[in-house]
Amino acid sequence: MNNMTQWIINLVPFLLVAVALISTPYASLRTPFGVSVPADERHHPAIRALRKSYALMISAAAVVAALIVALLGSTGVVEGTNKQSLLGVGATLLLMLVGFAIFVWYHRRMLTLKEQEGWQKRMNNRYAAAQLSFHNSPVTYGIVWFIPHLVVIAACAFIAVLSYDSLPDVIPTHFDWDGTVTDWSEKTWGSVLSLNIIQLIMTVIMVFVNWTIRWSRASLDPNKPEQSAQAERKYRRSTSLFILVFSFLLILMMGWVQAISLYERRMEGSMVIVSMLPLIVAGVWMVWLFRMNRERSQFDRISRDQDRHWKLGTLYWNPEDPAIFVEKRSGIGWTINFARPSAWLVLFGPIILIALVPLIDSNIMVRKSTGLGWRFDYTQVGTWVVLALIVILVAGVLLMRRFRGR
Amino acid sequence: MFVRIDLESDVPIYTQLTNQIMEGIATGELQPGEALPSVRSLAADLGINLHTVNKAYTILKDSGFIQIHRQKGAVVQSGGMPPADDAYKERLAEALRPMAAESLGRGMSLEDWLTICRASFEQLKAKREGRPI
Repeated sequence: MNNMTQWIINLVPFLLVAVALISTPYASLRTPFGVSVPADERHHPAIRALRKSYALMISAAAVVAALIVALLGSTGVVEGTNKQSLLGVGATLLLMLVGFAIFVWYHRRMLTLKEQEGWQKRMNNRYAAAQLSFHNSPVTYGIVWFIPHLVVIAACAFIAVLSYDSLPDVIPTHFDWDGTVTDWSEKTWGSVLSLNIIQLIMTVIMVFVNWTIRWSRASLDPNKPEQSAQAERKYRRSTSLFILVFSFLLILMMGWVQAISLYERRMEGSMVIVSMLPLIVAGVWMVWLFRMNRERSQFDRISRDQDRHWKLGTLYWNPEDPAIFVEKRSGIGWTINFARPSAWLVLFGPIILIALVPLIDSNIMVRKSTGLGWRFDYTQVGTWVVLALIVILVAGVLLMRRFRGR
Repeated sequence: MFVRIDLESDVPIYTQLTNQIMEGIATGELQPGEALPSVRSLAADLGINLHTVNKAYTILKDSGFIQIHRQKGAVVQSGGMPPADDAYKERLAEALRPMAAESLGRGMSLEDWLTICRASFEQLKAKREGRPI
């Protein structure tokens, strides 16, 4: 294993997490540390000081975590490449955990500051504004923009199906960071096409995320409704574009992994590019969204004792609110109203689906007795997973349609 | 079209919503056949209860300003607005009566009262015809 490669693989996610944590209060000026503040107090020296000391704390935590890992790695306490990469993942997870603890602490400090300054009374607690046509005009890129994704998936699956007979009886299904094969599976329709199924589920999830961006709450500045609606549109459209490009890259990447594992059966050296490219694209885009978000933060919106619904400044729990998708208070993006059962479905549905995919790894298709074409083997669990996926897809589409109507 | 709700006003929220949408339709800012947001989405955008929006839509539907389709949801009445028939005039007179009473009680003259009525009417009419007010 190339030492350099190992370092890059460990360092890039770690740095991304560190940067994301540090930039969180700078990305959401309207709600520093998940607390809403009056529009004219957003650059208050006390808030600035909090942001700065928070950034320092996170940086210090990152340096300490990195040092511990470097020490453990160089003293040889942890040996073997796989264990060392685990160490890198461990450092990243530790940083996330510590970062969240620090965030919660600063969230408390911010609440105290708000109370001391008596800002709650000076907030816009009275006026709410909305644009009636906001969600009807095309805010996000439509579903047709995902056709290229489907074309790529279909092409990958098509090639795999055509070459099925010429593939060896065992195929590599697992690689380590080095690109060497660590696990093999017996050739079945499930194992050959499992990456295509994951591609498909990913596309469905991305279509769904794109759709939630369109329908999530658009709360406007009651004093500048037009400008704030325009800024909101611009922001959502570029986020939608990001999702489109990012998911397409991921799909291409998975197609490439499939091609290598089926037809080349080795992966030396290419692993770094394969795993880093989407991360780098995401990083660049984040910077862009970050800037746009700052531009948007000049607008005010209603904040009638919303603070108490944001648990720890991060989790939104408000049974009174009909909204399912709301904008995050810290950082960039959207989150769900955890007080609504449908929101839980949205959050855990995709995770369960992905977890079920390995079940498809059994022989779910058998040749028809006539020898022409295939049919499902209903005695396999995987078959039912596939059928369930189809049902969920159809149900999801119907649900989306209902959401638009009354 | 934008709506703006005052959550601390004495005027109920559903009335504010009804009034603003009706005004939008009267001035042509909302065109016949134009789709209105779903109850859930408008309630979410304004951060108000679903029933409040539902009530406003029901009132607008009953007075003939919007239609509610099963598939398309709420749309601005496209088959011609309800006419100002005798039944409507009767309702209008009934609604104006307490206002006239209050003005009279405060010692307002008929001319002043009519001036105010004329001003609102002409403002909306000018907006509808795209003239400066």
